[in-house]
Amino acid sequence: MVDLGSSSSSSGSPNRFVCPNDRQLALRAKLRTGWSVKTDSLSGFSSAPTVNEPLAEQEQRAIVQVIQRAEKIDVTEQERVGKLVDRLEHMRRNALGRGPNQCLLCGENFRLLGPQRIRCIDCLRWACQKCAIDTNNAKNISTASREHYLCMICAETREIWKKSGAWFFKSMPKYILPGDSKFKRNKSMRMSRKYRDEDSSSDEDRKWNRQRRNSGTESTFDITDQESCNNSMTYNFSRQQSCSDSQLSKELEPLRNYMGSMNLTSESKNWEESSSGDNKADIDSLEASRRESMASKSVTDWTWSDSRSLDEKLSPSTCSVKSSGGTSDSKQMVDTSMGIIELSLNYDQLSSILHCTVYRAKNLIPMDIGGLSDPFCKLNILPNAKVSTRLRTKTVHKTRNPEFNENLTFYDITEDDLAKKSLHVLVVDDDKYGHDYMGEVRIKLAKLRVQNTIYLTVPLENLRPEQKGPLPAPELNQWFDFDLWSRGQILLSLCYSTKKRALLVTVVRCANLLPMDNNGFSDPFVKLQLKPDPCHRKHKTSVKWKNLNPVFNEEFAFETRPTELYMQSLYITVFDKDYGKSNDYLGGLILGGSGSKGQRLKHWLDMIRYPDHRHEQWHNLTEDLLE
Amino acid sequence: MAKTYDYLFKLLLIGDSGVGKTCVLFRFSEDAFNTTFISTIGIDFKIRTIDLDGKKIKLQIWDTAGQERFRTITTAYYRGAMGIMLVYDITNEKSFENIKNWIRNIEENASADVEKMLLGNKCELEEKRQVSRERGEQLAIEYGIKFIETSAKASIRVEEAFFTLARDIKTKMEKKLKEASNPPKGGHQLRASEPQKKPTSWLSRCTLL
Ligand SMILES: Nc1nc2c(ncn2[C@@H]2O[C@H](COP(=O)(O)OP(=O)(O)O)[C@@H](O)[C@H]2O)c(=O)[nH]1
Ligand SMILES: [Mg+2]
Ligand SMILES: [Zn+2]
Ligand SMILES: [Zn+2]
Repeated sequence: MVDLGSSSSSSGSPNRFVCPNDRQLALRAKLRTGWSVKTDSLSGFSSAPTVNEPLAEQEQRAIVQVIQRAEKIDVTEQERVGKLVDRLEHMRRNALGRGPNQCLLCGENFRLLGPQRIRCIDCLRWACQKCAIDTNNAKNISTASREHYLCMICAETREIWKKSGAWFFKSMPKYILPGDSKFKRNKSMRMSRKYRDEDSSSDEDRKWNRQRRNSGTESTFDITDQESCNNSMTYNFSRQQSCSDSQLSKELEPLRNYMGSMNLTSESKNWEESSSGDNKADIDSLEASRRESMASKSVTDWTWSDSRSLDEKLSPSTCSVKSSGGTSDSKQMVDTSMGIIELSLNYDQLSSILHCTVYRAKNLIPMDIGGLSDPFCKLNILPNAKVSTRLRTKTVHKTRNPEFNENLTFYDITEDDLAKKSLHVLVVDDDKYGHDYMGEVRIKLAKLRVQNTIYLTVPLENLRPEQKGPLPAPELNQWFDFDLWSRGQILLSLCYSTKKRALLVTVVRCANLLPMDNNGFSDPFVKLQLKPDPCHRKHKTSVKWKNLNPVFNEEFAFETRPTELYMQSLYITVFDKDYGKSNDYLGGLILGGSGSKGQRLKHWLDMIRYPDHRHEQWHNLTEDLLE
Repeated sequence: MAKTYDYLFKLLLIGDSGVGKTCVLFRFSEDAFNTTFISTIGIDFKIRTIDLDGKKIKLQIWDTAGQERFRTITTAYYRGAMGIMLVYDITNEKSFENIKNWIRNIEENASADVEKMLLGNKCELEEKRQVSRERGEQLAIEYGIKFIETSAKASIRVEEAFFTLARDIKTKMEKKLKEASNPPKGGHQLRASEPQKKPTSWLSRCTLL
């Protein structure tokens, strides 16, 4: 955990950085008082007047009218996108297929003379002709080319990606699901409560706030809808499909446990605090659920509300927070071996929006054999992480010093959240074989109660050195991996034995495998192969019947020399045993060689460098078929 | 009830005050022209739904005030724009020179993926011309963007300008979709040593749904 004590204050040096939200703040300030801020972006115009006239009241009114008109358009748009999302959710919920022998949508069995099996190019699952479309002509399938089919779910997902503007803004915009208007009432009740607390603003301001508030930009999530989808999805189709949905209402208990195990003793109090806050009131869960659909970066998101007034900054309550904010960490040695990250946070209290700007990271750990990485950041508010509120930056390729310069926005962050929660920033290596951990940092939001904008340069921490630890829960897997179609994990132990002159591979266990059989389970076994290998040896574990989290603890030996291991790769593939037909592929992984990166590469190199030691580590299985 | 549409594209008009942004937009949305100059207050927008390749595209076109005093409010709208029209007045050298400042403004405030286009307006005023068409073309080439001379008054190529920008955005969208999804078979063979690319590069965003 990083203490914010060392961050620069917003009132400090304006030239040091220009927070992208400054212009919004400046705008608010301008509209309220006519005060203007000089920003760097304006310096290009030599003719720029040095003194700006304040906006007349009439002008302000005209602008507000335009914005209100725009919000009507926005609501129409959010409702339209909401309908699309709803349709897709409905489709996912009703997908029937299990495993590659059934159409993933309608569940029809593929038989020799039955319907033709077609592979979706996006999810690589199998669908029947009726449930897939040809992307080449967007018509139903003819017998022509076979490489351009999309299952209906992926086709619909693509459509939404285009139609919502997500393709441009790099995240789903706000949307309003059909039939959620009842929550709007709730929201305005909450707002009116807020207005009463706010004595410093003028009547005019309050009116504007209310107008903006009530014009319906809040996209709410229908709880009943969501519950029903939980039930229907838990064991329907396949588990990984339920990812976002099943987590909407479920708290991330396993995640918290997991976090707790990462010797964060100083933080334990915090987690408890917040978990008691969870059960507090219905309104909190309402807020939480509403937050689901609110990950967006729309330009009209800002409000007229001003930042915290000076009086409040000086109020005793916030001062006490400051002093209790934990100065104990500040004297600790700063470890920058994982690199550092620069970001700023800005809290807009009236609209309950937290703006995060991720500027850059420096000296990140190298992930590939060339000493470079493909980093991106995942942001989340912890505890009680919600899948759909986590945000990510784009990936910056082949660098250890990525420039992100991205704004990410969290909605419905209450002041209560500020007191109790932290922003969690996870830096991850974007790799075709899965995402690898590059460090993380947790920033207490409490600091934002004292000042609205904070600018931070903080070292990344390594809280998960080996990914050993407990069994990754599906929730954690989702959160960590960000992967809709995850294939589960495998725990492997590698050891080069100098006595036996062999690589000893222990398949310890697998977790969160896909259910492939009609009974909702799979019958997994693991195949191992070292390549290149003059002897062409293949090893197989036993089959664990009806088990998605099988424990194997089986050891296999590959005779080889350490020098050769640098050239060799271990292919690990997990299959579902099927009698009378070919086995279903569950997932795979390559350790070592040119195809290996990050944790997989490290695991392999550690095994070579430190012989006669057992190196045990979890890895994600990928759905890529390994030849 | 609002008309249905397939896509919503947000466009933005920027350029010095008086170059004719509001008139160009008025021509496009209302097919009309007004000679009296009413300076735009801060921001405004118009809607027009067009048809491109059978898709209904709703254009929300933001008009901005060129004046410095509104700059904070107008730049707040840059980030949401998928396309930006940079407008100058061919009878006003200064407005043309300022285009580079407007470009810088875009670079600082708009999304990096924004589609841009240069408009030389009032092109029917041939006798008052201060900026030759070649110079306009040259500048557009420098920035790698398209260029059209228009006249809101005489209704010259205004439609063409907006349709071109909308089409470019649509093309970019389709290109992005191709990049984001699995590469076609041929692409795989080029990198035969590496297994198939994970198909979830952007699908991962679905978790937001
Ligand atoms: N001759 C001519 N005048 C134009 C044209 N477009 C705009 N104007 C005039 O230029 C002045 C400024 O136009 P306006 O659209 O308000 O400029 P803006 O400040 O860029 O929005 C008005 O008096 C218009 O009548 C045009 O194409 N030809
Ligand atoms: Mg105007
Ligand atoms: Zn089907
Ligand atoms: Zn699919």
